[in-house]
Amino acid sequence: MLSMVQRIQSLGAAGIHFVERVGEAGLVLLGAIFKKPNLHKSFPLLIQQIYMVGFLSLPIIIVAGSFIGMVLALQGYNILEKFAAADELGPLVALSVARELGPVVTGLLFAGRAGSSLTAEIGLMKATDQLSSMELMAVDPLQRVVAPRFWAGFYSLPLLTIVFSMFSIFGAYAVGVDWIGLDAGSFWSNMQASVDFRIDIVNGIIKSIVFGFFTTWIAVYQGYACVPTSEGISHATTRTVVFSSLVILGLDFVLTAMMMGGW
Amino acid sequence: MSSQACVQIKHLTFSRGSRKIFDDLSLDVPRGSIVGIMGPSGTGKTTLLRLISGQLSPDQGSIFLDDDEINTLSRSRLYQVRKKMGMLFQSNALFTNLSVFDNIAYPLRERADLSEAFIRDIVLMKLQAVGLRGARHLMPSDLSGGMARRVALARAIAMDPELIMYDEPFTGQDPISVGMIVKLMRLLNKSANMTSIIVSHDIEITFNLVDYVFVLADGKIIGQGKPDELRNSANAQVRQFLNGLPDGPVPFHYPAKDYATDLMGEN
Amino acid sequence: MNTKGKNKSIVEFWVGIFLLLGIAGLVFLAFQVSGLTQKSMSHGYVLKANFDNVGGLKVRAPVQIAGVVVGRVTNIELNAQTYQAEATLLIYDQYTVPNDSTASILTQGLLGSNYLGITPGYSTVSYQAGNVIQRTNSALILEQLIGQFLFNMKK
Repeated sequence: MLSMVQRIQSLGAAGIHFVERVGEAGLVLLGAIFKKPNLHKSFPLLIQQIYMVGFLSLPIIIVAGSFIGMVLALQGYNILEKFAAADELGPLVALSVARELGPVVTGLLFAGRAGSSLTAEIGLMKATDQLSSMELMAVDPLQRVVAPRFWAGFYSLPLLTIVFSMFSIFGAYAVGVDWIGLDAGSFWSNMQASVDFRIDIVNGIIKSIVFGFFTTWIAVYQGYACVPTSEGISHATTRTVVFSSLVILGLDFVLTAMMMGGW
Repeated sequence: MSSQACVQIKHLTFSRGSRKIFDDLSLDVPRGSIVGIMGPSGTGKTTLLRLISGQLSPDQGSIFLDDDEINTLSRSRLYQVRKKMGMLFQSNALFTNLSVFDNIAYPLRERADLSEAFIRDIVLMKLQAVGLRGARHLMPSDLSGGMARRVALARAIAMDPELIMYDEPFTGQDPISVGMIVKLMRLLNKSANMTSIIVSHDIEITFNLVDYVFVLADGKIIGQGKPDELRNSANAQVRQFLNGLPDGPVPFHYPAKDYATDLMGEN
Repeated sequence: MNTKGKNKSIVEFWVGIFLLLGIAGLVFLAFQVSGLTQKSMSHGYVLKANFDNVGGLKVRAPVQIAGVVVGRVTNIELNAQTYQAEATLLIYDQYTVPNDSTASILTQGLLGSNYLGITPGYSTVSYQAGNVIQRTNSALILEQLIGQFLFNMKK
């Protein structure tokens, strides 16, 4: 039963609220990364986090990469064969994966697995007063808890994307050459002829760096700023996955447009 | 024992959103005493502890720890002053990824430039004081509720603070654990001369332990005094709280219309 | 304390494996997938060529002599004076182009993209950096071809 004016007011209020949240997220990030770190203490924490966030994500990334490569090869062969262009299967898979599927799918899987676990972990530390007790012991939780996790995600996602792309191509090779019976030599040589390192591979890695930055930032902020109850943590986790996914897809479009325009 | 108060709260006003939590509150905690802060749930007792430790800032008024005005300190100075405080959280707040030993060693490693050997000695001494020296390698998830609380206490006193604050230390503990905690609290206060502030709503235990009680409600002090004095208080709200009466100034029924009309009516 | 030390070195080991896997993947992508070679990372010199019609030739299209990639097209512009398309080519340093060669715009296969093929001449003198290739063949435009065909049919 709200009038039009009230609806617009609530829309405006929601917009202001959103901008406030973004500002808060920015301050959290600045607090975490722009302070001189105590390297002796922070480095082991960083290694630990790269293990939790990066290495433990490898299984899902490798499996997903392999299957996507295999499916692309299967579907791609199906269509290319009609144009007697089955030899172009290598370039098809390599370009799709290196430019788009690698960064985007890895980013989405990362947001779902590592992002949600980061949010839940930090949120739980907040809810059980661990962050408060750190503050009372004059340890900055932004530096000790948030920063290592942020850098771990930032470094891990490009590495995971590379591994994803590699396994996709292995998968495509397995289906295309070993199963369907295409010629291995032309598979690789056509691929090498069509894929440019700087334009395709490097641009894909740049995308994954950007995705890593934003996904990890969102995950860490949502955990840090959540309502410290179990309900609050679960909402924060959901928000991480949803926002990260939207940001990845949106940024993918922007970056692709920039890159096609002759980056 | 000097007569100067350890903690002084002067004209504290603090609101969260539109709700006024404290309204011109003033109280002094004498040095070396053990003081209880009590009141019905939701009066902001935990908020008061956070204000004293500097995690929250008052809207108006000031909070002093010795000679330092907590709410005006710079971040680095605040971190220095916090060395003098220890806090036992309601949830214990143990770091779940560290062992008991590492939990207690944590503030020592962070704040003090001590050798590992020296830290080990201090941690063992604290563990001995709370009776858990044999449990040093356990993880927090292996501990029972009472044990976890004692570990948290050992961590809170690791830096030998002047002031220790307890947030609902007796809640949800079995009688034996409560007995252990009470013994430790008395010991710390009398032998180590630590000023202690206990936030609780357990009247029996608190009254037997503390020297002085402040009863808070609606953001103000509605009663204060030695435990015996308060038992004979004339204030109706204090009596309701202390005697656990289900109805009184804090009513049993949430405001609603007339019962008969409600039953007969539609919605 | 001992268990923490052992745990720590296990973690460091797996993180090291993770980083090595990433580097190995990068090497694989660079060399096996995109064919990054010593040659393609080397520098080159610039030649230009003018065409009446570049057809579908795009920037970054390969420049080939006898089917071997010797360079890339780096720029295509309209020359405002002559109304011809001026293509700028980057030829890798290890290749030379005789100064009576012909540059033609050809098509990869039947439906492929355009590339620039150089048919070498017999001169012993090569083009220097900044020279303009004199002999050029423009791209074959399908409509013109059909038109010619029909015209010849009528005859």
